[in-house]
Amino acid sequence: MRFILQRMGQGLIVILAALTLAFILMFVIGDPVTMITGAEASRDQAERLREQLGFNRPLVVQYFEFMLGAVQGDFGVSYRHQQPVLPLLWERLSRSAEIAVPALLLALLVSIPAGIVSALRRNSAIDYTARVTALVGQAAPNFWVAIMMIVLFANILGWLPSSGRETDGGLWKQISHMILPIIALALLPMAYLTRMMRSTMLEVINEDYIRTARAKGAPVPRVVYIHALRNAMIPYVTITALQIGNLIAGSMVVESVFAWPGMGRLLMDSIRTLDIPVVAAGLSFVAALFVVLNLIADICYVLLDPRVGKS
Amino acid sequence: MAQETTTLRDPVPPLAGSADQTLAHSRETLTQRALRSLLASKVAMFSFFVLFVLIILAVFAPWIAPHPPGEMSLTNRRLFPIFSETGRTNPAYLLGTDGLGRDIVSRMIYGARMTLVVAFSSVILGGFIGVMAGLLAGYFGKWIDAVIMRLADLQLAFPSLLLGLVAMALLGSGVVELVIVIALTQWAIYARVVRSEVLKVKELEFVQGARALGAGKWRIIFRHVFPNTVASMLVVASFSLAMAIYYEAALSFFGLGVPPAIPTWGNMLADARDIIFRDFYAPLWPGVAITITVLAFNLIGDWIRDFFDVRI
Repeated sequence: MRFILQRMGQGLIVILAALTLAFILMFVIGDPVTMITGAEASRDQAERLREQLGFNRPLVVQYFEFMLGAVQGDFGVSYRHQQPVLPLLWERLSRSAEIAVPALLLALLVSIPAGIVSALRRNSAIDYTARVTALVGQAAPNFWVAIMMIVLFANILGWLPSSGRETDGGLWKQISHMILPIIALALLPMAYLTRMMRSTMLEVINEDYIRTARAKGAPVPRVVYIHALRNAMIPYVTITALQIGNLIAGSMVVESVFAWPGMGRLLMDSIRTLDIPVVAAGLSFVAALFVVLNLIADICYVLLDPRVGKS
Repeated sequence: MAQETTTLRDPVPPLAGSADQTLAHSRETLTQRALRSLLASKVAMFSFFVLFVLIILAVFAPWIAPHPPGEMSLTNRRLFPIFSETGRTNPAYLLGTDGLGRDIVSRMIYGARMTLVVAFSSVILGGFIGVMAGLLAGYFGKWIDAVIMRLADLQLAFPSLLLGLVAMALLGSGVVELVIVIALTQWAIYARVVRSEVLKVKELEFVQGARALGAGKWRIIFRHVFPNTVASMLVVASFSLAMAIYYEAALSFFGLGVPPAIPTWGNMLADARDIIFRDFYAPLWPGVAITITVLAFNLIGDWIRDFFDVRI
């Protein structure tokens, strides 16, 4: 319990630091007024706007105002969408989840069995195939894979729509728009987690307690699923939690290519148009998510491995 | 083999004072061992071959490329690869041309040049910053350690791509800017790895011995501690070369990397994206090039890691 509390305290510091970083990046290094008005605006106009928005006050005041607002979930109004940032972010987040959650499930569903089989049948054809696929899958840039999927499945074969999100129409029509983004998003974590599962499994099955379990005559499936898998899952869980953070980077890329109106695309567009309040909120959200995921990974660690946290 | 047996049979073990001699001795056998391990691994050989070809292409690009990369030919716009059965082709343009009539092969070759320049310079810069930070944090500990490592923690809380995009959007696109931004997204990993190596090494007897002999702390850091971090650093470096290539391509693809006029694989993909409905070959080549290059650096990293038996 103390261990968890300590981690929560550390996490809080990371979030506050991330908010500060967001403030520095967006309000000190970049000048919000020039970004709103553009370079063409006259100096008078710029100064009037600066006063109106309160950017002419001392930075310390602006900083505390930003932090106070941020802690309460108020990141201001998006320059481009002209609506409060947080509700906008939440709305887009739910759409991101529509493809990110299935993508993560897909990655887990493929990587766990693939990793186990690969490790148990080491150097077999299956192992070889899984390893090569994972290696190539990790090397291929996700934005390119997404484009090639559009080329192949939408343009050449014409099986699936190339982009966008469908809200009307039948269930199949809605789902058909999700298939390519889900697969594109799942590939990277899938490749990574398969390699991870294989290597942790290989490590575990060479441990003494596995040999003991087999020597005492425990049936092989029992040894694999009860003795080995449980221990192999410990590092796997942590890494999966951290992969969710990478899913955000992945969804920025994949949603942009497939024109999926989620948070990833919102962030990408906001960065490119320097919609500062949205970017600041996005950075803070990502940091908070990272902290929460790490915390969950730590808790799982304690649950899966009783040795952790007692020492 | 012969070399190794003599080492083992060496009747007089070198004394602590003759550290240089042992280093030279073991370095020689290390090179031989590395070569043997390399020749035994087809995968590593393939990867180094890819790297070799890329370096040749990059260095001799003006002589190898059949056309200047920016040369536009109005009559030869949107040509298909010569083996394509549909669309117009022209034997002078092996893989065809883009929408402005520029030769794809030549742009790919110049793209290799820009890719390697950005990747190597950002990894060298990022590695330098990270190694310095890691050495300082690990050796001096206390508040220096706390400040550096918390900074690294904070940075690692964000996906590098996100930070890279934000930084490039604020700085504006450009090659130098891109190198600095990619370097800054990578220093934290070096710092972590080097720091943990330093913590392992600094309490070992030979370091204490050097200290007892009156060596200054900088001498200890650079002469005794640093060489022991090289193996893990090489592993990190080859993986981060792969990452740097990805970031260069991704940032350029989204218009926040290398300025669009300069041919890079990422920029070519960005151009290709607009015409995939007409020309499905366009996005193929740069993507394949990125994949093979990233794969090669990943495999080299795997090989170095197995060779030195380091865990990161």
